[in-house]
Amino acid sequence: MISQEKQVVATGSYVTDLFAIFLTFIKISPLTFGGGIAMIPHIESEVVNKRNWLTKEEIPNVVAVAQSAPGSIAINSAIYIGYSVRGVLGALSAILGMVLPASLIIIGLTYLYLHYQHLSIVEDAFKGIRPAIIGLIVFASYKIGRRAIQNKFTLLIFLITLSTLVILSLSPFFLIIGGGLAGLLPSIWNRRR
Amino acid sequence: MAFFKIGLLGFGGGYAMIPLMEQANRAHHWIPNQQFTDIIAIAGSSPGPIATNSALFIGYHTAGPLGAIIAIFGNLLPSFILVLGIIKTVTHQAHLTIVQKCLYGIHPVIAALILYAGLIMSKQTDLLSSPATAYPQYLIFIFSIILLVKKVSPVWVIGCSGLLGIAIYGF
Repeated sequence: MISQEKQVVATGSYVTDLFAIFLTFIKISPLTFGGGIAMIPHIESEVVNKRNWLTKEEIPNVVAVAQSAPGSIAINSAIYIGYSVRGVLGALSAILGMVLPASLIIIGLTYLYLHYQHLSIVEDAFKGIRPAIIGLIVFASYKIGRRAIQNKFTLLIFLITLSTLVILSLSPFFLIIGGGLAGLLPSIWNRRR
Repeated sequence: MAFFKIGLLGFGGGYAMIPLMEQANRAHHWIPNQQFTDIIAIAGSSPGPIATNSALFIGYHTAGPLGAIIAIFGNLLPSFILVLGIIKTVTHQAHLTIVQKCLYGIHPVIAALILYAGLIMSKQTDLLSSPATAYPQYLIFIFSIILLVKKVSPVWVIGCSGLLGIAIYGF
């Protein structure tokens, strides 16, 4: 999918490239409200159209890898792009650019929250926000579920997981590993026949 | 260390990490359960990845600036290792096929985990307690789902529900 030969596509000197990667992702980071897939168009316009670091055809690869690896899609795509431009240090600059502005904003918000959380207007606002967050989470589950539950087999995995959680409150760790192993079952089954 | 595990298992983007964090938080008693929901609210309404944002807050709240740095670092390290790992092995198509087969089984598990986290959190925020007193919360819940189905950005959903909260409970 990605050829090892054309890994270094950047043109400037090493340090200016690292700085360019850092700056690009600082620019993308504040646009990633809600995170995830929503930011891919921003990445495409910055990285493909402006910087020519990747071709348009490579964007689906970025998405595929970002979704296959654990962690947030925004960070994973930053790692992928940073690495393909300038190796490991490029990946680090991309992460730093992605995390730094968001961290500063969240530190500010957290400070405000801790200081004003007992103000009655803030308490009222959060009373309203909490059910919406649960709505957000249920909707996230629906969105992943709609893509993941494709047939009876995957539906069975979903139901087993849910009932194990409710009855046994088993650690997610084992459930995820179990799910991964279960995912291998159909192909083993087909090979036997 | 706990955030390393969360980062390692968070297949499927930021929301997949919420149930893992929720469970770890209950096990370690980092922050009060109700505050956890508020953190998700703050993390979800700020730019940047929701998981990194919440890791930052929980780490800071538990062990100060150093805790925040450790939590973020632990949260990002697995992504870093695995994305590079996938890029290096991706030339072998067979490796990616195995990863995708595992993900085929992992994604339904993630969907169930997220749904369960939603259940736990609705218990903690008294959404399931008494229908008589909680009906404004039901309305906000349904309202938020409708907005999300209509593809309204989560930031607006959180903002609107905050205003609704002030309107309902403030007067």
